[in-house]
Amino acid sequence: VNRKETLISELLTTNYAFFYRIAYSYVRNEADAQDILQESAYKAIYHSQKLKQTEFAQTWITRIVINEALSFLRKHKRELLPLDAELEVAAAEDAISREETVDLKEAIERLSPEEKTLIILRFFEDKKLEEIAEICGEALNTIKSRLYRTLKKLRIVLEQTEE
Amino acid sequence: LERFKALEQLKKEYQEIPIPEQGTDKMKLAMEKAVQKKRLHKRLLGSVAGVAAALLVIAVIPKNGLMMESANKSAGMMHDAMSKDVFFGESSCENGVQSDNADFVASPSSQETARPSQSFGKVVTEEVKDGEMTQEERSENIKEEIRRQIKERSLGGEAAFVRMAASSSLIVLEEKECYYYIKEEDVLVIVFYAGELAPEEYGEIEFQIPSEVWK
Repeated sequence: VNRKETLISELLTTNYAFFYRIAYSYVRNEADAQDILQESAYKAIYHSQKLKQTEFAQTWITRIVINEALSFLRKHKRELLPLDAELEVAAAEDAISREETVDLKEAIERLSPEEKTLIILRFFEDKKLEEIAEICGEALNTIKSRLYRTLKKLRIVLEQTEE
Repeated sequence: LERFKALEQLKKEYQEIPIPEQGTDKMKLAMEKAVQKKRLHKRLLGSVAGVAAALLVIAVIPKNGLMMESANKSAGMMHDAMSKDVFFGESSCENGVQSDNADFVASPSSQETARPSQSFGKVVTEEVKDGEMTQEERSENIKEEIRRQIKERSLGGEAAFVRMAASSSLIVLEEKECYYYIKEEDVLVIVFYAGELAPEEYGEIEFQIPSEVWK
C-alpha cells in the first residue's frame, strides 16, 4: 500500500462520520449513503495516483463523495423525499416554530443538488467559502454569488448568516 | 430571525444524523478491494505493456521473416493476456512504456502483421506517402475527431461525456498511450479508460475514427 493510499484510507476512516453525513443528506437513506461511501472509498483508493497535493486529500475525497452522491441521485432520479419523522419531533421540542423549520427543510430539499451542496458545506459543516470553492472546483467569487442566490431563494437574510 | 433559527435547528439535526456502526467496516472492505484490483491490473498491464513494446518496435522497423515470426509470437502472447479480463485503468508510464512520439497516428503497417485484435501503445506511424496527410495532420485530425465526439455525446446528455467535456483531463490526449484496433472499412477504434478522460469515471470508452480522418 503506497503513501497516498494510506493517507486516503486514514482520512476516510477517521472522518467517516463527516463523509457519511454529507452522503446521507443527499439521499436520506442509510443503505444508499453507505453505498455512496463504499463506492467513493473504492474510487479514491483506486485513483489515488491522481491526488496531486496530499495536503488537499480531505478536500479531494469530499469532492469524490459529493460527485458520487450527485451521480447516485441522477441515476436514481430521486423525487423529493418525505420529511423525516424525527424532524417533526425535533422541531416540536424546539422553541422555534415547527412550521418554519419544516418549511425551510422543504425549501432546501427543493434546491438543486449543487445549491444544496453549498448549504450543507457552509452551514451544516461550517466550511469556509475558500474550502467550498476548492471542493466544488469553482472560483471563490462564483461560490459567493451562487451562495447569495441560494440564500435568497431560502429567504435567509445574508447579514445574519455570513461573517 | 426565525428563518435563521430554523437553519440552526436543521444544522443540529444534521449533526445528529445517526452514524451506522458497521459503516466503516464496509468501507474498509471496499478500500481493500480497490487495492487488490489495482495491484492485479498493474501486474496484468505490466505483462501486456511488455509485449506491446515489442509490437511497437516491430511496427516501425522494416519487416523480415524473423520479425514476422516475432510479431506473431508477441501477438499471440498479447492476445492471451488480453483475454484475461484486463482492465485498462492504470497509467502506462508506470510500466515503463513511454515513447517520445506524443501523437496519435494510426499505423496501417502494423495491421498487416499478425496483430491481435487490440494493440497497446502510442499509435505509431508508417512512412508517409506522397499525397497522404502528414503525421501531424493525421494526429490533429484524430484528436479533433475525439473532441468532436465528446462534445456531440455530451450535448446528447450522456453524463460521462458531459463530465469529460468539462474536464481539463483531456490533456491526456496529448501524451497518453492507448489501446486501439482497426476494424472493417479501416475505422480506427481508440479505446480509453474513461477515468483518464474524466476523473472518477468508470469503464472503457471507444472512439471510432473514420478512415477519411486518419488515412
